[in-house]
Amino acid sequence: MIRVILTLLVAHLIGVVLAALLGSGSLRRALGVAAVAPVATSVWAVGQLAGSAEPAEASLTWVAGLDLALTFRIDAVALLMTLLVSGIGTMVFVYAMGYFPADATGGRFAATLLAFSVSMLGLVWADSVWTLFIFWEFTSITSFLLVGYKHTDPAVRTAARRALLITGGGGLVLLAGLLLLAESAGTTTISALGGVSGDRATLAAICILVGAATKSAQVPFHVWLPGAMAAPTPVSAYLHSATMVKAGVLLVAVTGASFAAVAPFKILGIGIGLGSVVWGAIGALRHRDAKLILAWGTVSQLGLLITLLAVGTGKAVFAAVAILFAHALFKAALFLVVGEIDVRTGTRSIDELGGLWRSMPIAFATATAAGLSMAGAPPLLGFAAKEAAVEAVLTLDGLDRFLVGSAVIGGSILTVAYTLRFLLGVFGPGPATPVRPRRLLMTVPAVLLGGAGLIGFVVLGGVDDIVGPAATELNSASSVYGLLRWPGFTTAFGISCGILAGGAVLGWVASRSSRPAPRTIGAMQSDRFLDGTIQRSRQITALVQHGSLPVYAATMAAAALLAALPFLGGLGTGHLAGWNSPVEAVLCAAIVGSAVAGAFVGSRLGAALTLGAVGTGVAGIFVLYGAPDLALTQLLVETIVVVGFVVGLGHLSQSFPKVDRTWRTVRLVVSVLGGTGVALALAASGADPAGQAPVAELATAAVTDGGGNNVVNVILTDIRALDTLGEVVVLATVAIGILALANARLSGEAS
Amino acid sequence: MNQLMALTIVAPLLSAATGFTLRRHPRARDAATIVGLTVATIASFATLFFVRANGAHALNVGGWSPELGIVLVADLFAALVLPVALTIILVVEIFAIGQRRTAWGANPEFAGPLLGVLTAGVSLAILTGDLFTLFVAFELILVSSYVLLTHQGQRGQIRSGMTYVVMNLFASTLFLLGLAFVYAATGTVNLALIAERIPELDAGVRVGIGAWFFVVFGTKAAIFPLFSWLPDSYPTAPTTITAVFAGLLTKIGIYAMIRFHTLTGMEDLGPVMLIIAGITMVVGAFGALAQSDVKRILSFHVISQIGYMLMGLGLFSLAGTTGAILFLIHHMPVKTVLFLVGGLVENEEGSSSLELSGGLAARRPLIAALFAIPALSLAGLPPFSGFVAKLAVIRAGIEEAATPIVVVALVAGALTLLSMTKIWLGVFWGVDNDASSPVSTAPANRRLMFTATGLAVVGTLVVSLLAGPLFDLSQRAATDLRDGSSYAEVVRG
Repeated sequence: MIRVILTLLVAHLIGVVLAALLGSGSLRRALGVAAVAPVATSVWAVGQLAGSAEPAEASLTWVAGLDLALTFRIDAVALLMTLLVSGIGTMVFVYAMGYFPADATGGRFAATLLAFSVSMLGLVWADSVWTLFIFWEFTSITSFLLVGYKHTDPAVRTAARRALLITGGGGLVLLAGLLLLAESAGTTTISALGGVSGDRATLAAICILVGAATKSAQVPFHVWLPGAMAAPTPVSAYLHSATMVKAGVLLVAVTGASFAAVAPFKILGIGIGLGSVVWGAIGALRHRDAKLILAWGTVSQLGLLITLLAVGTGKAVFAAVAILFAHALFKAALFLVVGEIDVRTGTRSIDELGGLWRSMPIAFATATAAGLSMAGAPPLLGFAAKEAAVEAVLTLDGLDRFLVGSAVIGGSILTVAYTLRFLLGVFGPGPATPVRPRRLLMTVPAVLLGGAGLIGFVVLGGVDDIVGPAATELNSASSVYGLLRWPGFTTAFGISCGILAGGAVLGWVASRSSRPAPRTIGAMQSDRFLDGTIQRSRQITALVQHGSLPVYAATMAAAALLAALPFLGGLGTGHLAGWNSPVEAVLCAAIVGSAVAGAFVGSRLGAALTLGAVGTGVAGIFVLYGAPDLALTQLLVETIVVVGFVVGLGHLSQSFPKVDRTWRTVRLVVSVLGGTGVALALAASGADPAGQAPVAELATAAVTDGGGNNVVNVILTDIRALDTLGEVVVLATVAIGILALANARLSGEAS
Repeated sequence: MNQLMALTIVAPLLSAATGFTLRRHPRARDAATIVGLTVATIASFATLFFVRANGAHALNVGGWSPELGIVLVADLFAALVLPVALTIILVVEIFAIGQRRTAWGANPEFAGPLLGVLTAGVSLAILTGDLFTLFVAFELILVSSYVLLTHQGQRGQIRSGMTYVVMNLFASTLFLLGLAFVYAATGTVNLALIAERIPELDAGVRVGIGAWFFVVFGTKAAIFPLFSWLPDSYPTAPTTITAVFAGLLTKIGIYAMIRFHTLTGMEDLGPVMLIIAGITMVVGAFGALAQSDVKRILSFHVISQIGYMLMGLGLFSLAGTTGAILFLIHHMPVKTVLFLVGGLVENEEGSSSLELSGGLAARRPLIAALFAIPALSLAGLPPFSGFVAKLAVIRAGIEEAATPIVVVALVAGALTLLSMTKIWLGVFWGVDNDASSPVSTAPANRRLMFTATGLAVVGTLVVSLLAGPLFDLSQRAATDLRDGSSYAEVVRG
């Protein structure tokens, strides 16, 4: 099995590379090449459905230490999703060949679309939370690239950014959720997740629901989906209705059983779902762009799925899987039809469209079949799926029954309404919109997908064989349920009739309204939030990176001072001696005096001289401790430095620039405290040492091993010769720097 | 075999000397640099394989005992970081030879030798087991990088070089004072001996030494609030120099910090480090968002990412240290590549400003692809090394129940993603900007630049692919670091 999985994945990747390499060639050809892998995968998936029912597993370790592995498991859920991903994928590739003009070039679109396809396959096959996450993020990125396909339009770029940041940000929350889930469950294998409970599990449930909500465009994270309609229609049909947006639903489905004991999972899930059902349907009833109506409808329908899965009873899960399957078919078909209308009439607005039932009869028939399936009317697959949902509501009780019932029944009424409004608006009465000739490549996939709802109802047992095992895989209690072609005159059937009647009335009323399309609430706000974040970042950065070197230096000094504070804890009063001899005291007084004077003298020359005095005083201390050679070196250095200053000062003004009083005080305080801090830190360090410097050993070794009587010389040239070499190179490098600057100046003057 | 590591210091130094002598002969000079860097890189890989198989080993420089002389130590941590660092320098030098005529400007003759000195400093800093030699190595790096930054003599570079050199010299002074504290307290500058003796010290002195070196190495690593030298100076330098700086300099700072603070077991500083790590991540990410120039955005990300490594260190757990090391290994090549791509953009558009560029994905899809891979890695997206590294660090945080820092790390990740899309939208999408004026480059040179960048991208992919073994090695390195006695055993021989 691992071989098959890898072969299929690699076949996709080869397709991606081939399509990308056709960069300047025909887009149609690239799409044709790209379609090969999805076709093969679909065939394989159908074969699997007919064959063994045993789940197959395969794993490739990536980082063992982090439990990172590519782990796949082909079970009934995976097969159902594969069928959707690759089956609808095949249709979309064929459709895209007709959608783009015959002379379109560039294979990148085909490559990206196929890259998405393989990411989605990886996601639905994943059996490790990390595999799932990896492919989850892939789908976000490929979605970003596809949404931004027409990126020369600034609005498209904004929409793509919004989509990426909401789904990408949700991805980060999901990352936290998966980490917490893996911690609580003690495993990263999805199929081995047991029930979890406790604080961490609660947090995990919330994070995972938020992640799922961003991906599946659930309230309040749905705002990216309408914007994503800026993508070419094949993308909208494939990613943003049939597959990618289902990823969040799938995530809720596979983790749902583990969170059975975590109360917030159910409450939050139902809340998000119910909110999306209502708000999405309202959006679908108000917008006047056919594609946006469908997009908002997706928000609503996915909300219903989340609600059912959050409740998590066997019947609810079964209904959710059935609706998921039906939704992918009818929604993709509707998108494909809208894309065809867009290409053939040049508009998607229901204000401008009309009379298409006569001029585009095949599209009309397809849309009607798909639309009725969406509305849950017989004799279509959507009817059987919705019946299951209504039945599921009837098995619940208490608050669950009320909330889920509102979602299912209220949502269905609204769905019928916006479906009717959609059909009437696009195809209904009115002056016929002029249409261009039909493109067969666009028509065929739409008809097949639209017809699938009808065929599915006819061979309902076959659909049951796909849906049933998948639902059972998610919740073993689902195994007893099945899809019914004719339920009989049950309560559920009565409710269904009521839904259809109520929805029809509402839809008819809504379709009469000519209120202009509303401004999308949330999209603009989220863009403004992102721009505001960028704006805020400018303020913060101007605050920390202000450009004043003295303030930077003061900051570092303050940090050092803070770092010196702990030393005080190691300091006893006994450790502080002022000086060891009177001469030392005099020298110290001179050094400190010179330093203080240096801070107060006004002229640069005076400051240079006081610095020289400090150095000379230090040389005196060296003499005192028996290091005359060191003292001589120090004097030499001080002399050169002072001479250098004097020479250099010729190019500068005589005195220091004026500094304002407060700032001067701050600098004084920092300096004095800094000096004191270092002195005390040094005293503390030497107070109770944990080891002694190997002075005697050095003296002996210098003579015996180094062959020199001057210990300092032996240290510099032998024992620590590497340090000396380094410092010599430092000096040479400085010389090169001076040479380079001189050269640069010379050549600058010459030119 | 333990002499081999010395080659990583000696070869670049020799090549620097040769290159300087031959500075009037461009081909010979470049050849000298390339040979020196190649030898060093090969030696570093050989050292890694040797250490992986046979364990850590030490080299007593001049044959002096560790108590008296200097010791170089190739433990797993050093052996892991060294080849990454040297490969980066080598690749950048190849790129630089291609770009030389346009970007090295007035003084291309010194660039190679200076890079040689920088390389020697980097190798020395990584290998040394002696705190004073580490100081010398920092000096080598500082001086050579400062000269590289300013040697073209352009006004902007000299001005921003001022902040760079003053802040870093200040840090050097603090380092020297820190050496005095350590020597007074322990009587040694040998890291292994320091690590042995520090636990016996009074708690105040011990924490004080840790905090002091946190400031010193923190300045080198550009943590909050000590990073001010970085964003001003990096973008003004030629791309290739910035690429080396970004890939290496701050990383040597965090490397030194991981080594010092883990070896000496400064757990007391953990909470402070985590707080600083969080602020560094966010402030760096905000800084990046505020910019509208590719190189400036990338510069601030250097800071932000240091926060993640500091977070791993600050957790003071095996998982945390492992994460910090893995993050370091991931980050060095990725950051360098991004700057190289910035160089390609600059070459194509005549500037790296977001406002002045646009539509590059259509015109130069290769550049877009070369950018996308490391950018996604930087943002911590799978399946790239950045994801593994971030996961390692964040998982360590969750294990230690350090919730606030985990949340901050995730938020900073979102901000990083936002600023990467900013580059993508500004440079690669949108309409072709007529104002762009490509810097004329001979095709041969351009090919060299693309080859170098491509190689580097492949390198980052290799790091991603080998994330498993690299994680294991990082874990072994972290285990050794946390157990100071194994380091001491190696040093004693």
